[in-house]
Amino acid sequence: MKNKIGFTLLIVLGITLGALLVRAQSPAPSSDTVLGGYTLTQDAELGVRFLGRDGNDNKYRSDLNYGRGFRLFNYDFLARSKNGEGGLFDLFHVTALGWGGDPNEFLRVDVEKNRWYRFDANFRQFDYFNNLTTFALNQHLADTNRKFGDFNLALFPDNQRFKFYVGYTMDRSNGNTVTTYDYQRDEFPILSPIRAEANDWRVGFDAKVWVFDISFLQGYRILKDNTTYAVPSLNVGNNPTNTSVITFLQRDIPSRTHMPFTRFSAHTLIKKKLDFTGRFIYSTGTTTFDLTEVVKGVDASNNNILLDLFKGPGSARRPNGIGDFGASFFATDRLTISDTFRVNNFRITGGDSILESLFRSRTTAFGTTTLAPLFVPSLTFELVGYRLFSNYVEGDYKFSPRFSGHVGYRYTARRVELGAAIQPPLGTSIDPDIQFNHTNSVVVGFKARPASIWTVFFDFERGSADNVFTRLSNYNYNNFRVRTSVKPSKTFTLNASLVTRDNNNPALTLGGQNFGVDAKGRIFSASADFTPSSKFSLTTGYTYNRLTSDSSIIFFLGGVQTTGDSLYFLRDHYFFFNSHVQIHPRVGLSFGYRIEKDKGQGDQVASSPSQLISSYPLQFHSPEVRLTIKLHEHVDWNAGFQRFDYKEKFLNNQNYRANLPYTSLRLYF
Amino acid sequence: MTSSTSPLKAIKRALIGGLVLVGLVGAYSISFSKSAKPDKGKAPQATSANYKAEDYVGAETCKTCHEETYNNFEKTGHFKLTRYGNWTADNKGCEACHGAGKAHVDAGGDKTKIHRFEGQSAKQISETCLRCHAGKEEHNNFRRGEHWRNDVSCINCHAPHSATATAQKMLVQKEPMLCFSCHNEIKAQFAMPFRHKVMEGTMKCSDCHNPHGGFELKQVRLTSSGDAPCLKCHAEKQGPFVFEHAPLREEGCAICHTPHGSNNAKLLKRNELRILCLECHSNAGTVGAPDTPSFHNQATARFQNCTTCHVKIHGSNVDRFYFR
Repeated sequence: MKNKIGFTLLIVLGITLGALLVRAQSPAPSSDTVLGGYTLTQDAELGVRFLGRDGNDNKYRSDLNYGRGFRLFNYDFLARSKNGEGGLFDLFHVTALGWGGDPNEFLRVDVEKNRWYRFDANFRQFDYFNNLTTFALNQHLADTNRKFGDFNLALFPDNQRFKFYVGYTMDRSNGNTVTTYDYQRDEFPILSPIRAEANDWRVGFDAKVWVFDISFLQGYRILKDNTTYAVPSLNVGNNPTNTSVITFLQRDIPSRTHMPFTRFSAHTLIKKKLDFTGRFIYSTGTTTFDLTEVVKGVDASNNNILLDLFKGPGSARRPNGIGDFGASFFATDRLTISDTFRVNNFRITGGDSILESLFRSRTTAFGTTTLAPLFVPSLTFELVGYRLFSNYVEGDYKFSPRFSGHVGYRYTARRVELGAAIQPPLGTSIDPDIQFNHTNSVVVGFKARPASIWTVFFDFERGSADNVFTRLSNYNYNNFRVRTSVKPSKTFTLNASLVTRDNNNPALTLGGQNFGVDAKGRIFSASADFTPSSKFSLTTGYTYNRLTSDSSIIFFLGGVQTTGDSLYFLRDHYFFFNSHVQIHPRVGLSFGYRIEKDKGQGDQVASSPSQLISSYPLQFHSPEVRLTIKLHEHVDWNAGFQRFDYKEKFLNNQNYRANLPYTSLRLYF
Repeated sequence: MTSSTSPLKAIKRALIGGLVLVGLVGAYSISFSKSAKPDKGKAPQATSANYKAEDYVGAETCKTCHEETYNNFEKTGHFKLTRYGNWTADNKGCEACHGAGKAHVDAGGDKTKIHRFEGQSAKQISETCLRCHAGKEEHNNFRRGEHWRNDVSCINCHAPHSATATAQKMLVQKEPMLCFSCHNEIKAQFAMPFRHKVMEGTMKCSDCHNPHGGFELKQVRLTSSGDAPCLKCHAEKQGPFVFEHAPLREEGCAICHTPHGSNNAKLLKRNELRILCLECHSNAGTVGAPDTPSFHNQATARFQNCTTCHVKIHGSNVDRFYFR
């Protein structure tokens, strides 16, 4: 209530002040500031956001997570040396948004001294929240903070012969999460505070050596995961028919991954006719870890677990080499033939050696008896091997300045090797399962300009996807894509596109049923941009995303193997418009509206227990408006309002409405 | 899917043989093709080979007639090169792209005496830019990229002399709006309840895609270490794990997730997790991933929520069923 009154007062005050100023003086154009040989341009939008919401707070925070309070909506600072002879730098550019309370915060800094160096840094911070009734029985929760940073320094950035690079990337995850643990065939929600970080250092160069553009990068990546897992007090688990309980659990499994990597690439263009590019990346990731898990409680047979200790180390290693080669031959001004070849090879080998030491007792009417301790060693190895060759050859022919076409053929061959061994006798080798597949696809397309204002892009691809083990993205596919753009004037653009994807798994008859997958996707989209002047602009668009997937599956109902169908429906409509009107030289009004509505499966219901129909019908709409009044050459006052209204069709316990008014000052220096 | 070893060697030979053939044909054609000459009657090309050093007049001379363009140019990253005294005139200022200006100036601004881009194809325009901007790993595949193929030239996205002063990379418009101006069907996905924070401004399309082309499908940008771009931020999924969920690295994250946005939690392709799992773990023997055991009774909530047990679904170091 206090917020509402405060906001209303601010609005009234702003409008009054703005109206007075509008009457009092005409606007003056803002100008750059000159300071010590630098031209400075700076603007900052600072303000306060209010929040009123009702409905499911957890879902709101999982989707949006905007809070109330002061924040930096946007900041932009640019210092540029006037004559290119600045001291330490010739360019200093800072952009920032969201700081001071938004869940998504961003900062970018670019600094450059002509000829000598260029430095850029990105820093992002996300407050990640997840608490959904529709996922993992609402027992996988997160309230964490993620930080990402990229820092790159280039020395001699404009030198055409040699450039030197140094880089660093960081990734930090901290916060509280809840996860689950399957123990004694029951599932227990357990606390899991995340503490993970990744650091990545890089050094490299670009060089011109003879006719080749050479790039080399050497890097080292370290991942540390110190996430722990705990049950501090009595936890009875999810399964009411299972008598097991956990009274104490502590799991520590610190893991470290070290990954040196090398990237080398070379490129050349010979006589403007042959363009060659080659790239090779090699990395070796090695993870080491040490598990210590202590559990106390009661097992599924009503024995007291005095101590169930799992302890043991392990490691996994993954060398990975990727080689790419591309060649384009510009046979004539009209004809280009390209070939792209890849080989990707990795092999993951890992194992652990864990000893379970179980100390139990049994309490009966006659007293408590200590049971014989159990010591269960396990030695496990797993192997995943993968090798892929793929080649794509393509011809591109320009029939006329207004029409060109292309045709391409892709061939892929994969070899996948999977093997596992549990407690193998000494000297026994793993006998892996090896599978091959090779796939083909053809691409045909054209680009046409029927009129100078009208462009059409078209692609059709037919072939088989290179999936061996999975079928969610299916084998045989026909993809069709057409995109068109009409630009009758510099101020008006119309775009439209249609993308269709028809996927089928090869038919396979199992138990009299055609055991396949049929998935059809359609996306139609159209948008229009109209900007007749700086005083008015309108952008609007509509997208229809439709997916129908029908997969034969076999699953178990009460222990009975059941052959059935899985049907998934997406019928998603999205409409938006954004507009800006400069209603007075000092007063601007922006407004927009977005609505997303997924009708899902509509009225369809499962005809039998063997049919699984799923969809997620919902409606999510968001109007917004923003009033901007130029109070002074250097000051804009803004007042805005955003509303988010979320409704689900099947479950209504996750619906929410959020009103987010805000007011801010934009200062130009 | 077949189970024999012999095709692989044949394929390898065929692919390598194909490459060698392309190289030979290319080399042959180059050997017997005549060197390119500027077309008669057309505006001269911007290649320095066509000019002598005294044909260059410098950007300041251009300013006398093209002041507005010059003033905009002054705010771009290109302008700084005019300060580089030891750079030759054909590599800096207006004449780096438009060619030497003396004849144009001497003819009182005759448009036929200067290299202009009107009427040039997208590929020709891009070649002018690539004279200087090829040679970076980022641009190595531009001549095979989707944009190149579809006649989207450098200046469709970059403004060489009219960018705003604060524009990153001299882009004509900020990402993602620049990308949406053609890829409009993607915008809707970033308005869904679960999405990567692109519209919020904390991520941009080029964080994951390389608009200048690349070896990957959809011009996805690999991490420096050659991993999927998702792993740059979702480092905890990188592994290697002793027990890796095989699709994680073999098929990629997009086998289960829709990367731009989704109505489904965790950007999953299906709203019910079990459906996602069962469509691969289909119990059809030769089709799909390993079968599910018979006690996985799909009539109970317990077995409808696969990840309550198989928590470490991306990979585990200590449990082959991903329990911990």
